[in-house]
Amino acid sequence: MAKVKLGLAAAALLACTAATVPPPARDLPANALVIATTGQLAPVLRKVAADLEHRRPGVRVLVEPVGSDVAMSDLFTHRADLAIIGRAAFDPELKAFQWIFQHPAAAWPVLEGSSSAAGHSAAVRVLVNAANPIREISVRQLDLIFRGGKPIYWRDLGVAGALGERSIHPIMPDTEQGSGRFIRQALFGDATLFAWSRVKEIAEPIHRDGSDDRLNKRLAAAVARDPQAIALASGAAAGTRTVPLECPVCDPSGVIQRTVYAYSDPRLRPDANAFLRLLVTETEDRLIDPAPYRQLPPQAAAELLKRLR
Amino acid sequence: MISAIALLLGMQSAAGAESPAVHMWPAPSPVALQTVASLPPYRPRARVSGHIVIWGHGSATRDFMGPLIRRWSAEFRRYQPGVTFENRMYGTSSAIGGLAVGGGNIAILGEEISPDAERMFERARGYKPTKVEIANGSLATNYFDYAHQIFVNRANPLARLSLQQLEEIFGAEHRCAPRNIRTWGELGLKGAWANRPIHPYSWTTDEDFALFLRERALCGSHRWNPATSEVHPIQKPDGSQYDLGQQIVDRVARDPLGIGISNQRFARPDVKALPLAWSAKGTYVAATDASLISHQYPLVRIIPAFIDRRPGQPADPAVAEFLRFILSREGQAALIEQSGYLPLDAKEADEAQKWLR
Repeated sequence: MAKVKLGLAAAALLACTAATVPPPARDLPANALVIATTGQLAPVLRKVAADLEHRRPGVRVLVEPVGSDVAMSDLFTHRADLAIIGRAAFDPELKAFQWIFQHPAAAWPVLEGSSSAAGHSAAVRVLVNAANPIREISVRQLDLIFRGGKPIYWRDLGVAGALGERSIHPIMPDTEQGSGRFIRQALFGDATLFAWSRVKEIAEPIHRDGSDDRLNKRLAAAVARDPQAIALASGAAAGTRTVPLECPVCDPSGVIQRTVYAYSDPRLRPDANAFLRLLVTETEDRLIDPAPYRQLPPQAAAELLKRLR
Repeated sequence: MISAIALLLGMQSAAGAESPAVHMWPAPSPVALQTVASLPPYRPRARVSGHIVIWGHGSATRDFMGPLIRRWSAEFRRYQPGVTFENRMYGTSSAIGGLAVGGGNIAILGEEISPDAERMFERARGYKPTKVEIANGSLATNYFDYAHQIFVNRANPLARLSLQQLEEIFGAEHRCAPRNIRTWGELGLKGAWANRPIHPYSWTTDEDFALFLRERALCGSHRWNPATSEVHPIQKPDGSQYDLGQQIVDRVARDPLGIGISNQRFARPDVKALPLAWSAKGTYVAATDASLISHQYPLVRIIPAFIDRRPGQPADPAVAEFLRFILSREGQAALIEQSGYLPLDAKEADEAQKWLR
């Protein structure tokens, strides 16, 4: 009798501690590779998909332009095999995957962004009004302008004349959204505290597939209207009344460049592996039109191909 | 027999699980029991059927939400046998994603919805998710959204704060309050204190705990006082984590000009938690089970469930009925017995049902 009671008690306690919730089953066509991505990346991925389908009859690839954040949700809910996005995944997105699958997602850097076209995972641009004579700026100066405790004047950056006596009006994308977050990660060590008494943020419109470029146009327009303005943008964004500054972050080959990542389960399906290999080894000419991304540098491409072997 | 069960639990623990029944939350307090007893019982409004998939707060290694979900499901099925359930409680990070892409019907979060998650849902569905408040956070129980408390150094003569003053201290945009407060004199302290600067300490300002304060005290602004010192994860020499809440309290203890957001779990004799009020003319109260349930204490956490409800359309009938059950006497009784949360009172439970009617 005592043994029965022990068994019942133990069973009851184990019922309370039965912890593991299994990951969701793959909710996709068995014979199709499903890729969730952004509106900007979809054209180039579709070209690679068509190439793969041509080379490997029987393989079917579905490319779904849903935006980076939804793409990551599709991945961790098992509604996509690959999420290919124009940024590094955010911490909660990676946590979500790990908590569900009990191992981290694999991150494969597959392309680089371009600085030559707006809205294509581009590098940071610094814009001033066309009437402003300044032509270069350092990251330290940007930090003082956007985060420093004291107001900064254009004379502090070497600008003479009437403009030099005026304060700088810093503008950046909403620091909570994609481009603003990328900029604060790239330039400011992911800081969240800025000189709010002078920094103006411009919100990023929410678009179903993430292909909207109104943000960069708004930033450029704000700089065009205000001779005292300086704006951080992610993309070309320069117009006739604005000028991009020379700076380390503006150099297309510079260290701060957006990378396009593919996220997946580390145990890649064979068709996903083949897709990534093809994406990385496609000739650059094929990628330039219609989506101006750039191939990985040769060493990075070689390392990725080694990982995919 | 006890030692045999303990051995069994030890084996389970080694496999990565803990027994919620043993030490994860305290027994319900008298005020929680009284509150639940005052709620109306569940009365089915309609016979419903369907399959409800719940995503949300939980963990694959610490099953602190599993017992509650299982009890809610089992009791609800006594009234509505046509409804089946699926538990996808992997953690708050995945909850809104599961809801947004159609993988689930209810997302129960362990904290406030993040702006990123809300934007992601809106991008996927074209409208915002619908929030239904289902519980109050605990006073001081880990994993169950403990209340935020404002600590100052014991040497500081400040005796109380209003929510507006919190915004003035910790914010920079002052969406609701009229100004910034940066010195102790602006809070009414005299003498040597008057011109001394305030040194705010907080959780990392774009992460979960601070998101709550942003919503409740900063009127949704992410523009925190740039002078705020944020704490970051630190690993202690023994490999354990130096808890962020403990770091904040410890820094306030070392800094007489400090003010920090933390919880009484981390309190020490050389700091004090301030009574708070919703407004300057309101009642200043300390955080207790009673003041949290009554919402007299302004920094009570409120546990949301989110559903996908198209604007102008009713909620899914089975989902709506299940949420009505959660908000009933039976649902809230299960809540306080099978989790560390506090119940909603009758007024809040009724208010929470506005989207379900």
